[in-house]
Amino acid sequence: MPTSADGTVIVEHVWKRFRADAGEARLNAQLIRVGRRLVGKEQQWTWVLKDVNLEVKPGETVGLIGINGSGKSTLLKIISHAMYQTNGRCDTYGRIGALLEVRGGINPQLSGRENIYMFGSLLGLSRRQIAQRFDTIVEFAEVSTAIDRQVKFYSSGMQVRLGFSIAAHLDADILLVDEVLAVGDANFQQKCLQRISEVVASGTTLLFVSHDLAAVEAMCDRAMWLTESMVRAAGPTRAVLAQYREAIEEHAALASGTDDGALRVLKTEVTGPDDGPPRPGEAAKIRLVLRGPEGTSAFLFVGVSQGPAMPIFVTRHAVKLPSGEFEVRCLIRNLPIPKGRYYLWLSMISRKNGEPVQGWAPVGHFDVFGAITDTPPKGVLVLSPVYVDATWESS
Amino acid sequence: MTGAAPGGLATPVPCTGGWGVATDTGGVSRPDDDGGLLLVDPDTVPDEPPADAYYRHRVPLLLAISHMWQRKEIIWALAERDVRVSYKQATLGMAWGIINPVIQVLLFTLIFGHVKSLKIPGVPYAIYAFTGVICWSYFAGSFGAGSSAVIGNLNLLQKTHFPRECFPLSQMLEQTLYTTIGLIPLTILLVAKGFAPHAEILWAPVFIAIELLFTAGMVLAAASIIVYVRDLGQITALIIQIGLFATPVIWPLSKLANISIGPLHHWDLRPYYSFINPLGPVVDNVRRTMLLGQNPDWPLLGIAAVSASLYFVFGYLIFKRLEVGFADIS
Repeated sequence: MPTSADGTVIVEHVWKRFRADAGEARLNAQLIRVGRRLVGKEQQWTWVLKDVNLEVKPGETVGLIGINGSGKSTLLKIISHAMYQTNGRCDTYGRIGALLEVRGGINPQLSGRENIYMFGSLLGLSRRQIAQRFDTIVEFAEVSTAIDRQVKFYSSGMQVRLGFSIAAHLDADILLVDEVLAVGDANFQQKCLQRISEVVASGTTLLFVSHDLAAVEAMCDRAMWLTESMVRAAGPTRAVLAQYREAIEEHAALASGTDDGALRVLKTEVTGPDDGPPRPGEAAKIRLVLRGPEGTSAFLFVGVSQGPAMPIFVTRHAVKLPSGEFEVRCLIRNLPIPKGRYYLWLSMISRKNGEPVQGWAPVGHFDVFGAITDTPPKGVLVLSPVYVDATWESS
Repeated sequence: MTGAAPGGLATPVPCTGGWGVATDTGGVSRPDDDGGLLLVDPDTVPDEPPADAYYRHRVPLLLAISHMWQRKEIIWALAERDVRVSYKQATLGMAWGIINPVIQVLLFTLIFGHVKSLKIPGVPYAIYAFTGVICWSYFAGSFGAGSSAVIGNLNLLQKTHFPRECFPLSQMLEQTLYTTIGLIPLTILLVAKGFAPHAEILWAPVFIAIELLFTAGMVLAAASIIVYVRDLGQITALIIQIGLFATPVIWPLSKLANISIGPLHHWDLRPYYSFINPLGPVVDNVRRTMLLGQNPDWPLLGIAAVSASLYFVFGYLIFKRLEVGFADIS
């Protein structure tokens, strides 16, 4: 086996399966299993990773995205060698630091100080190394006043911060991060991202699992999208995210369907000046052709999003549905979004009782052509891109 | 940082489905945004992996031991964590390390202290019982706590990657502390009775080594099997109870020297017994040397040493073999 530089991760045709009846560790279940094997019957397996390939060079940053249960966390566990693959090869070179649901390593009975030493050694630091970092860890976790208190008296936020802080100060060659940003307040999240980018800047390889696509975009050069245990797309982060968002969109459209008899969206169109394509900063027109239950008096909400449900902006309009088709137009003076693909969402809420006539659902997409926004520095999240007509001067 | 060749991320798979074309919908572009997107058609992924590439988890014993030894600080940290936690939860803390053996010895002395056939001339029964209890309770404590060390730490196990045997071995280390504390009341008892241990007890390292090997083997095997068969957790408690009486704690090993069953007359059962339960000769030799000042019974100790080594090797191998699925069970 050729040795590679520290920080390299090689995942080759990795497959992973679990028993379909996972967790059945009772004696009778085991006996049945042994019996089946003796009779030569097939075991019941569920594949949770199918033919996954990933090669990461030292210092690269790779994001893993996909819905829950798609196998991202399993892949990270295999890379961290906490779990073994069923088939294929998984090699890593150098020290691995894992930020996987960091509260797991924290013991509530011990004080913050003891936890730093305990968890630190479990993660592979020597006592001296921990002592060197102790102050930094405490300061980062913002628990200096409570460091000698038992962790069970910490708030959940403090516990998470402490766990993250310990794990974030290992000098690992490969850093695995699994959904740690889902916890903690916005400030601390930003701090975590900052810390991760510092670690990355020092040459550490990063593998990053998150549902926060903005975070993935901010942190990672490349991304891999897993779906139903398989790799669906891999490559430059933006391109993969675009694929992912589109698929989610399709899925949402299929799931919510506007065909429940309440409201139908017959046509959507977004145009720019002179009925051409929409352009950032210029006037735009959203045209919707609808048909719904006659006489309904309702608010029509129209939103524009870049990906899943969260819109960049929403506008509202009071309508009274006539019989048959009708058209509504929304005029926007300066379209505040830069170049890219966007999705149109719609919802209709009855004015009488506040009940939804139509739930929040995607109804179409459109592309904006023209200027692009500047890329933010690494590790900084852009919530959603907004077009700002800015000019610079310096003297 | 972005020195990766485009497409280096995954092995190219021919695209035949609706994902064939890389679309540029990302909008804002980055320098590396212009290519390298690889799309995989789910239909091209086979249902089963190739049969020749199944991962086989085979770790040579010596390699495993050397890996474990490199991470011995982890064993220490885990043991320290558990000691600190139990110390905080129990008001008497470490004192339990003294109270437990003392009560056991008191009970045995009250019940068996007057049984003539168990008496050894010149040795107070309390001291006799105490030596047995110390040897036995190290095994019992390690086995009881160590066998559940893996299932008790599944959460941590899924987040770390140090050798898994650190979990049960840390329990043995913790037990070492309690056993050492248990030597305090024994010392007090020796002083109170005015009984001076004989110099032959300096052979103790041999006895300790045998006990450690045997205990480690049993603990490793139990800790790994219990992950898959939880019912065994109940059986370990049973084994400890039975073992207390099946090991020469309250009776001398010499009782087995002359057994007559059916056609067998004056049969020396001790070699066979020593092979199955190496703790027997350990307890016996602690008493021979320390209490009676005799030399160790080398033939029986030899059998025990071989047996304990086998327990250790097989226990370790079972553990390494089964550890592959630990993280799958949660």
